[in-house]
Amino acid sequence: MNEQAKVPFFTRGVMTLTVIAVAGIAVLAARFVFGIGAVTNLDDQYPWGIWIGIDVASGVALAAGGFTTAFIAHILHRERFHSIVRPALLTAMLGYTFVALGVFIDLGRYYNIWHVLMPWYWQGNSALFEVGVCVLMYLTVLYIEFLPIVVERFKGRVNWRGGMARFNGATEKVLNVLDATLNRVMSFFIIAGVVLSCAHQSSLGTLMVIAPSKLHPLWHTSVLPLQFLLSAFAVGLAMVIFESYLASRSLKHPFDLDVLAPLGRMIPFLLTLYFAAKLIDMVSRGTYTYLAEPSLQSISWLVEVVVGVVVPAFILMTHRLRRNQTWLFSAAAMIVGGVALNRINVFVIGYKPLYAEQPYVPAWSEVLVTAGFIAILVLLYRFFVLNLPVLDHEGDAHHA
Amino acid sequence: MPRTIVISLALILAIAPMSTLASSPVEDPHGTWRPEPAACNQCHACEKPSPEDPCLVACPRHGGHFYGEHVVDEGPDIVIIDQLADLYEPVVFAHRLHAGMANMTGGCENCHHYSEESGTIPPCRSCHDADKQAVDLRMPALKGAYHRQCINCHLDWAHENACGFCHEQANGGGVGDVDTTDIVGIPHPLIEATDQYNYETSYTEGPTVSFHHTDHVEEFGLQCVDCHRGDSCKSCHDTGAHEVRKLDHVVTCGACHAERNCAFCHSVEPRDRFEHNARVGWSLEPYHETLDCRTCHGEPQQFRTPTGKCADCHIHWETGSFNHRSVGLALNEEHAELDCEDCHADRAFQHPPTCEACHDEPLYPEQLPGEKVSRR
Amino acid sequence: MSSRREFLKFTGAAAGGAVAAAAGVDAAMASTGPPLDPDRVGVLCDFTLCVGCRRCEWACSSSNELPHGDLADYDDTTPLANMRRPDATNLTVINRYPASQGQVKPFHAKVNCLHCEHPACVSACLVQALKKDPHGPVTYDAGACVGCRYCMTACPFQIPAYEYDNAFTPRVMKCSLCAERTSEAGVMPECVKMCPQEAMVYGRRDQLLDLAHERIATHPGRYLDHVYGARECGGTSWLYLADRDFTELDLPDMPDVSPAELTESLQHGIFKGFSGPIMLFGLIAVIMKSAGLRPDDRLEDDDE
Repeated sequence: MNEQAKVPFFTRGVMTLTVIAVAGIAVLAARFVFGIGAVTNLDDQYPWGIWIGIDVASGVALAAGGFTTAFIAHILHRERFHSIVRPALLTAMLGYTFVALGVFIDLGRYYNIWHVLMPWYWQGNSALFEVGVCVLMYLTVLYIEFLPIVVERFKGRVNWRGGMARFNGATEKVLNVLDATLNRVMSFFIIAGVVLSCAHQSSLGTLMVIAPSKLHPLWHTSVLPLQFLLSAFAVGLAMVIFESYLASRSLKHPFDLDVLAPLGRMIPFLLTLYFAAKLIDMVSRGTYTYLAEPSLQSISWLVEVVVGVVVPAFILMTHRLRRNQTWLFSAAAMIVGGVALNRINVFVIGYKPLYAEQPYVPAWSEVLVTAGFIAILVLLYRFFVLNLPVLDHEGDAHHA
Repeated sequence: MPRTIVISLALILAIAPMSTLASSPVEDPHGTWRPEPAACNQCHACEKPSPEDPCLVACPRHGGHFYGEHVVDEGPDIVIIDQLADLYEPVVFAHRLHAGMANMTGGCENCHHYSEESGTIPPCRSCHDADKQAVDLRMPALKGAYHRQCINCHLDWAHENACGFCHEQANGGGVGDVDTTDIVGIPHPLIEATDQYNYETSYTEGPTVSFHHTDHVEEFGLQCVDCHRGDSCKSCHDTGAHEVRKLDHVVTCGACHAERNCAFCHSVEPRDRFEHNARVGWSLEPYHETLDCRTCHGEPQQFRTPTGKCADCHIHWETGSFNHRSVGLALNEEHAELDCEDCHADRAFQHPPTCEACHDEPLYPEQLPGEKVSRR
Repeated sequence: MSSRREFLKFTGAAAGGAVAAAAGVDAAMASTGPPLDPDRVGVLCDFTLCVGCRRCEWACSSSNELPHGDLADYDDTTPLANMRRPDATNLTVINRYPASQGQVKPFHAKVNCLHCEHPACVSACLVQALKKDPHGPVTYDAGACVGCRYCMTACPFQIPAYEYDNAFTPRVMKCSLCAERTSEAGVMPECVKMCPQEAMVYGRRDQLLDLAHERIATHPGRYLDHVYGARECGGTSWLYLADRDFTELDLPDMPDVSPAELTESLQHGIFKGFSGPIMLFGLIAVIMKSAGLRPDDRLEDDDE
């Protein structure tokens, strides 16, 4: 249907990712047979490890591109950016799917996850309840937002084979109905997606506010939800640039600098807000004193802020560098890494339990699961862009 | 008519409360016991206790409600503690053994913190309820009361929590399994002490201190607790490899020998036991031997040296009241009629008189004023 | 334009439905649990009386059907050489500390769930698996639990443990104050019942507080004038007396409010009556409707 179809699915990189994915799945199998203790280094002091810190917390942040681009393109009606909405939406959909999976495998009693949806179990004081419900609702919203892409791909081309052939007519009818109705209701879901994202991106920060004696003072603050929300805005856009670049290299697809450079221009503004929220909080609480003592935490904080916020902000503020796709990509990558590191800092590195005898270091099997998830995510992304009208789509089904 | 009714009603109303007062006088919550007026706060936590809110403090233990003198033998030999037997067999408590040990420290009050005014010591369970639920939060139930008594001392020297020291784990056999005869009625065994201890000290002028333990007890009449103050079971029974107990010699020896210089105790070579004649050149033979040191020297803290004049002590020695045979000389008739001072000028009995004081020729030793007899 | 009208109609209807649903969520949010009974229970634990005999550990493990050895096995004091924490098979442990001034006997402290008055774990639990019983105990319902372990992150005393090696039905493990037994009048928690020294007193929390202060007043010199748990983290059902600063006994210095206060005020501040999200929804809808199309030529571009 388009030129991406000519790119073969299997390459050397894909084979490597497949190996990692299979290894990750093998470890996961062990987790479900022998328990969480068998494959992780978690203990009573460190109940959460990289599955929460990377798969979930960083995953949610990096999937923020879905709602930020939707806001720019659909709510502010910046038509220029419509072309990046679908890749961002795909990233968000896959990202959130794996966030949900990440939570699922980390749950000791994963089979009880439906309790979160049952009102008689609801516990509204819990930030995690709010995150959980919002993530589940947003995931549904993302699937609905993604439906038009599937409809567009198959409408008029339904061709079940064999015994399923008799359903061809019915499927076609369903697709037609969907096509007609989705267009009309999509605005609601787009707005809902933004609202839900704002809610749970910030609540993800509220999660660790409950542990003032354990989370390092460099990160523990009552404005952690605000910092999480602001950094999500920035990293959502950076992620779009980051993955567009990688996709263009991998799929021999042009990198649209005329869209992505203006996008990159918005980021310094968001980063400044985020940086201000961090800095004002730091000064008001006097926590800069912790930076004077060299520790894993102080170094990690500096890397997160200098490499992840300050440097890329300056790069993106410079017109010449912003118009250079290598610089643009590098800045985006730094923001992605910086915000991901922030989430890891808050959930893992900055978490100092009261009675730990040695710090938590993830087990190789834990790392393999996380790496496996990322590998599967990349493979799925590749599969979808090769088979659905995601990348080469100008404009959008929805015109409000 | 109505007026009389009103008046009589008023009278009834007025008298009724008075009559109730008269019929039931306020009972003294203390009963017959009369506590020290200044000692209210030993039992009451608040300023003004009332029968409704006596605000009693946790335990009469701290008030020292213990009366009467008791001796080791009057208590029971053994006590079988079986009110709580559940996970463990009943405890065979060698009461007399412990009473003997307590005698060396604080006496019966060590454990029995309360007795009736008559001196009767009630059993623990009469106040401490065996059922933990039923009691006042302030007072331990029977289990806590027992264990706090035992464990606090036992831990001082045992250094481990071996419940098995007192308890046999329950096997359903009951007390019958325990041979109680081997401990019945044994007070604390006599403490074996060496007669003489030679301590090496860091005092270079006289590194050796010879301490004659038996003499201090038998000759000088000291009680154990005179020196062994504040000792507890663990002072002797410590099972751990703790440092050797160091007596503070200033406090312990100095209690009696405060006036003495260092050389009184410290010497280069070990010293022999104290012998009055050898040390001061004054034999105690035979009559003074039996005396307590204090008779002549007073209390050790105010040690005094007698003048050596017999009459200082023997103020009643007069003719007729003194049997001269007791010094080994039965006076003959002529001399027996003399007054004491006639021979013993100035009643200086410590110096034997000389014949020349009365007789011109020296008669001694050919002639004596009497006949030599054995003393005594 | 018709699509826009329809959009507004649909959005309005959907928003209405959301408000209705939100009311339900809000009711769940307001559920800080029923108010605490004035006669709720607690335990006063006097560390100066503890002799470290570990009988409470045996009583706890045996009554909770956890692996435990023979009673006599607990005579062994070698585990006391190391600092221990409660874990999935030992819900309470005794730790040994240096002797008090002028004493030979080592000092001991018992560690277990303190049963906060305003528990962070209960506030953190997203499915009400942990609950504060108005009568005092903080209880756990494994049937409701999803196993997220947020309670372990939230607990300011680092108490809940997890059965990491149980693949299928792992539980959060912590002291329940024997709630399933003590609901019957006159029944004490097993550790309290077992303690030979009666170092623990079980009763009404308010009376225990009075008793604790009374002991401090009656025995000057024996206690530090501090009842741990009277105010820490908003108060706890367990109250402790000791001869020294509690930080030396690994009980953290804590503010007077529960850590849950802040997160709950944040949550309720943002989501009060679900008004925040609904207002945001309305605001975005207005922006979406009013913001005009920005054709490419009008788009402020990257060049200056």
